[in-house]
Amino acid sequence: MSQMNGQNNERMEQLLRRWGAEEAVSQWPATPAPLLPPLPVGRLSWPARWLPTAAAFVFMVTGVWLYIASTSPAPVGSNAPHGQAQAPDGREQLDRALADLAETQRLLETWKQAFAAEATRLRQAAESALAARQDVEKKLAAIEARQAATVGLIQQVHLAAATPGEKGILTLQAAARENHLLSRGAELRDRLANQAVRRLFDTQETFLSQLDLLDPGNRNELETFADRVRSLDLGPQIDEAIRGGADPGVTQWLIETQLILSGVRRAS
Amino acid sequence: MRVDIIWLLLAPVAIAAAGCSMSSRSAALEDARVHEVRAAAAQEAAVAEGAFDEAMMLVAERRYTEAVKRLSPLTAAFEAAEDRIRAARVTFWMAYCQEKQGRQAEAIALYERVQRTYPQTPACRLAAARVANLQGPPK
Repeated sequence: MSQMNGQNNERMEQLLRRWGAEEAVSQWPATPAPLLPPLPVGRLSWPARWLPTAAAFVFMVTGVWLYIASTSPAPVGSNAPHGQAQAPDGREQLDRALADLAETQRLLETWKQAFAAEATRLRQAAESALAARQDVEKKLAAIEARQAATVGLIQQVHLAAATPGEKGILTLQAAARENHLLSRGAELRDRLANQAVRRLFDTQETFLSQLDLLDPGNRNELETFADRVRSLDLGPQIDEAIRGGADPGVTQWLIETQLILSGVRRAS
Repeated sequence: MRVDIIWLLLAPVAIAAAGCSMSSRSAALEDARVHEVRAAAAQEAAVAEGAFDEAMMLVAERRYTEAVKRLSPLTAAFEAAEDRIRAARVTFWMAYCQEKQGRQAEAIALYERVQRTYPQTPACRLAAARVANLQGPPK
């Protein structure tokens, strides 16, 4: 089968070759002969044969050299003066580098000092913050203690009002002494700048001292003292001092003394 | 003779009786005088007490100069009435007025007099506290 196919193909090719030749002859007319006669290759001289090749080679080498020259970087220091002319320039560069180094060291030293100062400042700030916190904690504890004492004082004043007469006055005297009102008042008074509050302090201190020296068994004395306290009612002035933003210790003292004196008014 | 003896015996009795009556009369007179003095002192003390109350009002009103004038004669009055507690108080308040007027040396002297003259009184305790405050904390 395959042999038959091969024979058919061969025959077909022969037919096509013959038809093509016949068609070429019928289609294309005979062309005239070329102008130049064919070169007799074997008769050319040696230079005539190699000259174009050499010219082409030279042209190619020149092109390559021009290409390389145009793309390669210029040699370093090609324009620099040679020999001893380079020495001063190098020294100058060295001097400049040394100056830069010195400047850098100076800056480094400055920064070190600045960092040290900053570290010291931060440490001091941290220490002062810690101290302030401890101070606040102490003050808070003191305020809490005073609040507790004030509650106790209110209870005593209440008791004094509930038992008028000698017992009530004795209770108030004890309350004033236990809360150290006189000594605290003397300490606070030295720190007062406001003259009005100072005067208030003096009057309250006088009343507290009179209460301390009072003979609770002497009814007449007790009534006279209570009348004195009533006639010089300092409540509005104390309210004004507290509203005026008095020191917390001063405010506390004024409130406590006022409590005691209100107890005197009720206990008499 | 018998009558003489009786007279001799009665004479000392009469003398003794007369003496007794005289002495009892003088004792009574003395008592009356003491009573009179005491009554006068008590009256004076009562007056002084009134003056003291007024002085206390002046102190509360911060009229210290006037208060000292009122207080000055009161110590003697209370001393005469043998009222040491009030006498101590008067001296204390005089010292207090001096202190408030800025006369610290005078104030301390008076406070110390209270401590010296009237120990064991409430005014003595308070005077000691004020002296301690004036002299500041011990160094």
